Amino acid sequence: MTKSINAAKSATKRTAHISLPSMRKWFAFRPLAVSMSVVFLSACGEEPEIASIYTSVDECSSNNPNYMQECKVAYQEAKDEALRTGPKFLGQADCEFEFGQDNCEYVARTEEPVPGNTNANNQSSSGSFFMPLMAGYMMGNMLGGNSRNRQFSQPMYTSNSRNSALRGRWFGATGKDYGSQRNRSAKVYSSDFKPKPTVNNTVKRGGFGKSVARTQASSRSWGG
Amino acid sequence: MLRRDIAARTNWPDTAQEYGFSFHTIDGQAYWDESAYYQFTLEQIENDIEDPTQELHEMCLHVVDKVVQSQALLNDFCIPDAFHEAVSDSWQAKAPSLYSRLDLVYDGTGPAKLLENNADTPTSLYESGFWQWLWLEQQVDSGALPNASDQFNSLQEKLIMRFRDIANHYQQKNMHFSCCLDSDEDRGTVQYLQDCAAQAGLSTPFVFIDDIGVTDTHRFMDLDNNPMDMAFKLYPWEFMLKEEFGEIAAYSDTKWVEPIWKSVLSNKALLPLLWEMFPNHPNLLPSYLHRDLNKVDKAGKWVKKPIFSREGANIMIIDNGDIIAQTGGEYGDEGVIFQQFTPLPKFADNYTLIGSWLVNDMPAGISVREDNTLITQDTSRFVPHIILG
Repeated sequence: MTKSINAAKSATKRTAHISLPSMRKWFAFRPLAVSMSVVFLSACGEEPEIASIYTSVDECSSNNPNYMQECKVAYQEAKDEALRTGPKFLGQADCEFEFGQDNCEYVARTEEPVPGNTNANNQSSSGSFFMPLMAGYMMGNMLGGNSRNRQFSQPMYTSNSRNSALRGRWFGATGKDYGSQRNRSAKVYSSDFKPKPTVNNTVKRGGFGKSVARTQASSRSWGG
Repeated sequence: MLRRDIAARTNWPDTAQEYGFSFHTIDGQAYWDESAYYQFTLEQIENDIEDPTQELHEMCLHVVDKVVQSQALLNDFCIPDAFHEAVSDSWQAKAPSLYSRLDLVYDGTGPAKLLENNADTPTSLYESGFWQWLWLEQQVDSGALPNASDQFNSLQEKLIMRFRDIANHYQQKNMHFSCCLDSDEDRGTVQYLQDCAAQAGLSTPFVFIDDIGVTDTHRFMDLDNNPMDMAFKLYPWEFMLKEEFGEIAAYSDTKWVEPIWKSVLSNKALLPLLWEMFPNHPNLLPSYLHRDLNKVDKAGKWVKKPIFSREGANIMIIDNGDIIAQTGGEYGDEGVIFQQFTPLPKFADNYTLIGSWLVNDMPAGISVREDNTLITQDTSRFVPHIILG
């Protein structure tokens, strides 16, 4: 428990190195915590399904000649989803740090807010950014004939960066790992596409947190 | 120890956004202030702050060791009976701790004086460990500060190492992180700890303290109903002990960081015990429990502090029986201590307080905070520092 007071002092008094890309938060990309959820999901006894990953509409269509239209729609949905939920970076170098060289594109947002437009959904952001290229898209079991399940698609990314733990893997916009890039199918769980239920009758909540005065307007810490 | 003016980095608000430092301005008031910095010599840092921090910490641990073995002392610390065994068990089991911050009065000369030990839920960690580090790097790169400038700040590398140690100790790969709703500052502090833990190879799911659930078998669960086997909470034990899940938490299998024995180390009743066990130590101020009020020299100048006060709430400065300064707040129901008043040094128009960090048992850096009044509160400003000469 105790250490010598006269322990040798180090040459500098500060942290020698901090990996700055890992400290960035703006649209920060954190695959580690997300990929763990795979373990928990599979432990819950849920049945996985097989989803396919395609790198182009043509590839999808030639595998599923009767579903050309669906392949196109799924591709477009994934593209839209990528723009909305995909990782975004202020600088090309930061994007390429995670995703590798020549794997990022510049997205110019030129939309200016329309004067007088009071629509709350109007995205007035005019910031441009870099985002990884969509390397493919995942399609769910719409081709499996189960009409109860809504079709889904989502953008797939891959990285060729040595800095990325997901190099050579397929992964989604949140960083969830779907296996080696060599594979063209992945096990998925229906809960990957739905919000997980947050209420469980066997679990009681709200037994912590009451000591903090809710009335205070300040967002300051009550810590020390 | 000098306070020097310096031009702020022109793009610093953008940089803050890029790195997710969202609470540099709080309620319209500047909290992060880089219009100035403090300059220390290496000798000041090592002899006057680092070594005394180590020694004070070891003295504090001696007090904890004594307190956990005595029902009467645990009562003086306002720890409810139901938790005495849990506190003692966690101490005897050497349940690993993560970090602490000692608040010191220091003006560049003479011995630093311990004001208090924030050992359970210290904040301003991100600003200290990362943000002022980045400030120094960029100010040296731009030529605004000399190349030889250093900083007493090994927080981040020590936190990463410590997370690795704690994970190994408990043989766990998964640590939950938790804090209250509604505080950007607390969420930012916890996010920083998540980042450090992730860099130590841990997975770091987050759950708000209000959302934590407990099963019939007294297992804590996050909002996705995943069990919380190891959990960091930026939420003080003295709150938890009063709340519905408190007793379950104290005796559950969840490995809490900080462990429950920190409710003794972070308690202000520690200060009178320190003075009793190490009387006239140069880094200590005379301090007394309320029951020893007769030992307080009424003609002197004293600070009355609640045992559980935080962020400078409910502090009263008494001079010869008259109240000369006072802060509001909701603490103080449980008991108070009296500590001899020592003024904070004044630099320009600012009262300056040193926060001296420890990661587990190792001194790990300092933060400097300024306030316009004698009592440092959560309105204070964080000012970076360097070591030069």
